[in-house]
Amino acid sequence: MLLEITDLSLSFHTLYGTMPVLDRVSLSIEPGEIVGIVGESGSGKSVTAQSVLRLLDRNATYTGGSIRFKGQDVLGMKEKEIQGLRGKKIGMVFQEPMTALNPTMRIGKQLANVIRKHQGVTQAEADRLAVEALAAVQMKDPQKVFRQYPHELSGGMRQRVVVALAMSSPPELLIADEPTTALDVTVQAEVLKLMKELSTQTGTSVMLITHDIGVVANMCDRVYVMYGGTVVESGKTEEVLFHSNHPYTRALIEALPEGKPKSQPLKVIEGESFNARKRPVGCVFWDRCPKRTARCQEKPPVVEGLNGHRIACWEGKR
Amino acid sequence: MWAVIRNRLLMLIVVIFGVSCITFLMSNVIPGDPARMIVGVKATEETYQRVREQMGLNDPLYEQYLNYMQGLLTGDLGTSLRTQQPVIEDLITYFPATLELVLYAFLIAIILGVFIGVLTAVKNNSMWDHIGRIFSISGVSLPVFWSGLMAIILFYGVLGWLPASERLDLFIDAPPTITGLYTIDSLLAGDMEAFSNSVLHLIMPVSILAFVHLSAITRQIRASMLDVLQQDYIKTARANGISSSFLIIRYALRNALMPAVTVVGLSIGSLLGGAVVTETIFNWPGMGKYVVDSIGSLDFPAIMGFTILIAIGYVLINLLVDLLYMVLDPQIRE
Amino acid sequence: MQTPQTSPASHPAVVPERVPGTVQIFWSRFRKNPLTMVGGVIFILFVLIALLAPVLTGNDPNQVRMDLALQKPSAEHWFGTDEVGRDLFARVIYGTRLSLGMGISIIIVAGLVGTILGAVAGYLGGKIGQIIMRIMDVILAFPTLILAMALSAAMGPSLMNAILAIVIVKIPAFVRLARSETLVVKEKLFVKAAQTFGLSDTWIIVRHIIPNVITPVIIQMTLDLGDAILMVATLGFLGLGVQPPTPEWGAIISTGWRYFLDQWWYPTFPGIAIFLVTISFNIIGDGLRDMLDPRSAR
Repeated sequence: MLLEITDLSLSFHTLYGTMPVLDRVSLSIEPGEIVGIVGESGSGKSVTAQSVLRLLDRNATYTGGSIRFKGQDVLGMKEKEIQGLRGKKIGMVFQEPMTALNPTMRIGKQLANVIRKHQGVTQAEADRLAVEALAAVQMKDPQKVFRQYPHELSGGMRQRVVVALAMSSPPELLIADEPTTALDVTVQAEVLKLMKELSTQTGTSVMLITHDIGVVANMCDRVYVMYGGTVVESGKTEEVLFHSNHPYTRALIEALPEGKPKSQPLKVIEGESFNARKRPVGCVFWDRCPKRTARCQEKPPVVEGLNGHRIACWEGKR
Repeated sequence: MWAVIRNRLLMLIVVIFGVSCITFLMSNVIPGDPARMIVGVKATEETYQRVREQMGLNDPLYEQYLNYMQGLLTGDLGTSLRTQQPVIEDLITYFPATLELVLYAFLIAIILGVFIGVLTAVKNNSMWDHIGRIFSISGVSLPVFWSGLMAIILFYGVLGWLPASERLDLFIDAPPTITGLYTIDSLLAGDMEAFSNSVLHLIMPVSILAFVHLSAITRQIRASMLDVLQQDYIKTARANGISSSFLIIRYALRNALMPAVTVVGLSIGSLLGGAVVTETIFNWPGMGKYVVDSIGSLDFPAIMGFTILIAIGYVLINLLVDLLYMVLDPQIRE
Repeated sequence: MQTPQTSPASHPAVVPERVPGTVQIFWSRFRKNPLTMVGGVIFILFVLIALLAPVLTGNDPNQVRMDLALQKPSAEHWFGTDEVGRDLFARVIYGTRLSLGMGISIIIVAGLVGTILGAVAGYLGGKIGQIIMRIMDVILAFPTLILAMALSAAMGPSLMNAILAIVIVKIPAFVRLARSETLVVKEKLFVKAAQTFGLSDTWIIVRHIIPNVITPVIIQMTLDLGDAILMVATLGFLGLGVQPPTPEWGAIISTGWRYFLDQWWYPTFPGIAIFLVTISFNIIGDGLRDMLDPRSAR
């Protein structure tokens, strides 16, 4: 097991008081696997991802559970130890490529800084490796990009630079937090393809966070569906896509535009996610669930299906 | 970039033209009757008329303005009524003392201000942050003329540690003039006695002046640093294992300095205003004391000459600041 | 592989409180910032002093008693006496009225004039807008204190002229603020609608633009008040503001300067008053800025 998150609970302290954001989230990633985490904004998927590198602001408190990377307790690490993980063992790619790079530092310098930090090489060697890293993300003219500033690059190119940063000292895990949401559709496909190829070449596992279940279908071996700070369903991608009984996952799949006659309107999941301050005691999807019954006001059981497929729903039986 | 510089230079000409109009109005129109002020109420009608004629006050206004502009362009700011010297010469004489005071105050304020600003931003909401905050609010709230007096009472009156007026003790000769800054000239001349004495004389006025400016810089650096530390690229760098100290110095500070540079340029205006008051309190023989003495004797050519010179200098400083901004920001540089 | 577990008993059901409204958030932030409270208390204290001056001291601030000249602070004269035996406590107390009054009227006039000019420049744009903004650029080309000095010297030292001079140097900041706000409001639907009804520019500026740009201007006014009071005192100190024997803080210090090494109390107390009033406004302004800045919420 490369990454193992067990019963992770987390709260934010805000002006309005303490808000629970994650409620006993558990997930795991094996070496070489591409694992998707899918859910709408506010479902806790980004927070889960950032917790792995402990990147959350000081107002976040871990209230329970553990995160283990190769057996090491991440939450118990000192700042120095966690810095050794970041960028070296675990790389991270963020959603917004336009703002993810330092505007006043040349691309090459930003890469070389990270390379020197993790590989302890000379400046000249780091520069050489930086150009190599740019070539590895399929930049046409890596020498030129090396000398450029972020504002001189397009969104897709910047996102490749961010991928190059994360992959420069090939990590064992790459966390990609909505890496293509801000990009054009064609560029999206390129960046996803690039990440998949890099993962295959280097054997890096990928944790892919997205709100787009279509991306999951194309990329991932396994998937976790999150809603309201909990995992509501998990399993192999094809199991979840084709044999899901969870009303929320079904709604996500039905909202996909693919393979539908144009005349049929896109299905939109009605309602909004609950206010984080008013967590329901029973099923988190209660407010919006089309199939809810009285017993859903109690916490739903986890139903086990084939190949490790798990559904947290009273109606989860096939 | 060149287009920006050209635009700035054009703006500069418009602004300097406007500045000259305002100072002309202030020296020739608003004060009522400058001739009467010069000759006094007891003078005969004949003398009064002669002075009016001499001053060109009987000419039409536009002619007066043309004369004024002509003088300005040739560096003629008129003759001081008090010293009977050309104002420009007086100001040149007093300039080095002001420069020495303002320059040291500025440097100290910048260095300490950036340091404290970064510290309080990084330790946001900690005890250091609160102390830094009270410190900087106090700085902008202190009347310089009063804090100067209080410092003199304590360090000169009670403790007797520091001199409270002039640039050197009476019995010490000024070093030969090279730059006009006594600290530098005395070092160049190898005169250690004059050097240490001039440093002693600088300590109080420089600290008093720097304190006000320091507060303004600290506030600005803290604000822009807090802003930058929330940016995505800081998170990216952090996610890639860049250590905190490297992150703050190499990634955050430079970006935080950019908005601060403009504000620092503008706050030099308050530094110059503060210098006028500081020089007055510490009997510092610079341009500020010169202008306050001129105000005391209603010496309009001197007051307006000083004002227009400072305004032009201030505009030029801000032009330099804009250029510096372009150097710092690669997005504008091309 | 882990999946969500079920243990209903320990499910964290957070009991929601009432969602606080804007005013409540504002007030709660205000309370959480003890420094801002201190600023507020000092300010209220000075307003009370200004209002209750005759009650607080039985002494006439202008009563000359040569036999009591330059006395140390005592039970009789808390802040001592000046060179002609006037009670310094009374002069500082009555000076509060003058300083607060001058500061507040300067800011109100400058804010009002600035808002009108800014709204006109922003709404009409074109030549008029250009001319207004260039004039403001020229005023901003001078360091504020130095321009205020030169203006009041040119107009002749007096209370009214000092106020006028400071108003002039304070106007441009308000013009710029009001103009940039106006440019936003101008594009709003209700303004467009008013234009299609054929309402006059004056009517639209007065009834639609100004009411919608006034809030940021008022905040800026609070932030600037401390500086205005400091400037009044500085001009007074340089002999350019209020003329003797009117008890103005800066002017008192200016006279006290001659005696300060032997009679330390003379300039000390009026200076403390200036400092406290100014700092109270700056603390309030700083807190206000913080409260309105969503980034500093925490």
